Amino acid sequence: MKCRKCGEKASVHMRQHKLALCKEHYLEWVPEQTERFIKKYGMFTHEEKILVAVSGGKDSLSLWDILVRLGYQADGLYLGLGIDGGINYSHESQRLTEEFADEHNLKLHIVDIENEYGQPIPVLSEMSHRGHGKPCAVCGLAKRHEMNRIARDLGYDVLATGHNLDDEAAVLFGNTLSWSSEYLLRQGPVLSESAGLARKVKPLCRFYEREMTAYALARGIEYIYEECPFAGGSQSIYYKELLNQLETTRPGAKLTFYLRFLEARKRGDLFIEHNVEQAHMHPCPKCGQPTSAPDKCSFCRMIERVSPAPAAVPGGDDVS
Amino acid sequence: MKPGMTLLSALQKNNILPESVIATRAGEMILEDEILKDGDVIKLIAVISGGSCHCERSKGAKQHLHLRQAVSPRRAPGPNGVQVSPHEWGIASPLRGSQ
Repeated sequence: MKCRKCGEKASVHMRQHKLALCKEHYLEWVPEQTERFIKKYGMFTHEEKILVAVSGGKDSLSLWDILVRLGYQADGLYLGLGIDGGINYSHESQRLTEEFADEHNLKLHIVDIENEYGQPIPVLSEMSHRGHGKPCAVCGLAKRHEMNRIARDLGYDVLATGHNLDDEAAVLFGNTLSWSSEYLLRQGPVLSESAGLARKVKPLCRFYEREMTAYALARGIEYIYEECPFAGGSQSIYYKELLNQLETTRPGAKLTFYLRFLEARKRGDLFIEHNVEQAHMHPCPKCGQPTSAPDKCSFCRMIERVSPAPAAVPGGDDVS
Repeated sequence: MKPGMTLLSALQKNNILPESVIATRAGEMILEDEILKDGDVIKLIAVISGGSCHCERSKGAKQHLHLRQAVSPRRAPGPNGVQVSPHEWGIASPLRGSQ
């Protein structure tokens, strides 16, 4: 497969865009697209101060890298969660994040949950009896709370997270399965600031997870490859796998799913009973049943099409 | 794996969704139409991550494990075979691991 831009051997193939690019042009394409999404969704400007939530994973480190390459004022925030899981998970992710910041001469804020609140996340979870034996609920809650607190306390205009399209599609899929209307109406690339809440943005929300992995690899970003020890069996990973099965047979399915949702949300079409069809119903002039077709109903038109033409009435023209 | 087959065929033969991995050979990303050659060592890097919310043990957990198991076993190369080697599921840089 050849790069569409230069004809050299391609390194990344995005079937949903029918686009293959070599490594060099892919590394140009990703920031260009990110800039386009930032502008399209009105996320932030070059004059604003951005706090990037970095976990040491491929998405958040790539996001930080892209924003800096684009010339934005982006500092990092790492939250030390105190998760070990037998693999030093938090220590390793912090080490990789610090290494990235040092290598690129970037400002990184580190907040340790245990230092701030006396206990690491797994212990806070046990003590609070939240989350049915897993710390994920407490972890999510603490991260949202702390990210917002730090963004506001340190005077940042906006908080950026590395959510990619697969993350967003999986959340959307889950909320659709349960028809969680409140969550569906709140999901989007930008959550506007409101009293006490910093603006939150997701500049990578239109990139597939696969594309972000390819970006991190192509850029030589060292990220924590190991999954959080508590992530096993998570619903969101299961949904991602289901959606990838769909994507394999229908390239672009994930993108369409997410974009059509955003369009419907923007138009205000979600959960509003328009009853448009009923408004345009009228009786079919032939059978009298209601139809939305301009003239006769579909059934009558179909019957007309399959019926033999009526035989001419002998001498009919002369009848008067 | 037999030399001469494409990466896509190799992934399909191992029940691995192409969408869920990136394949590298000698540190370079390769695409689905790449013809695998005798002695090639292909590293697969899983792209799915996350799972920080709504965690529960469910039917999905089994499928998730199944998919990972499809990637995880290290396959010994047969005579004149292509070795498809998974990335270690430990803390490691995929780049460092593949160079």
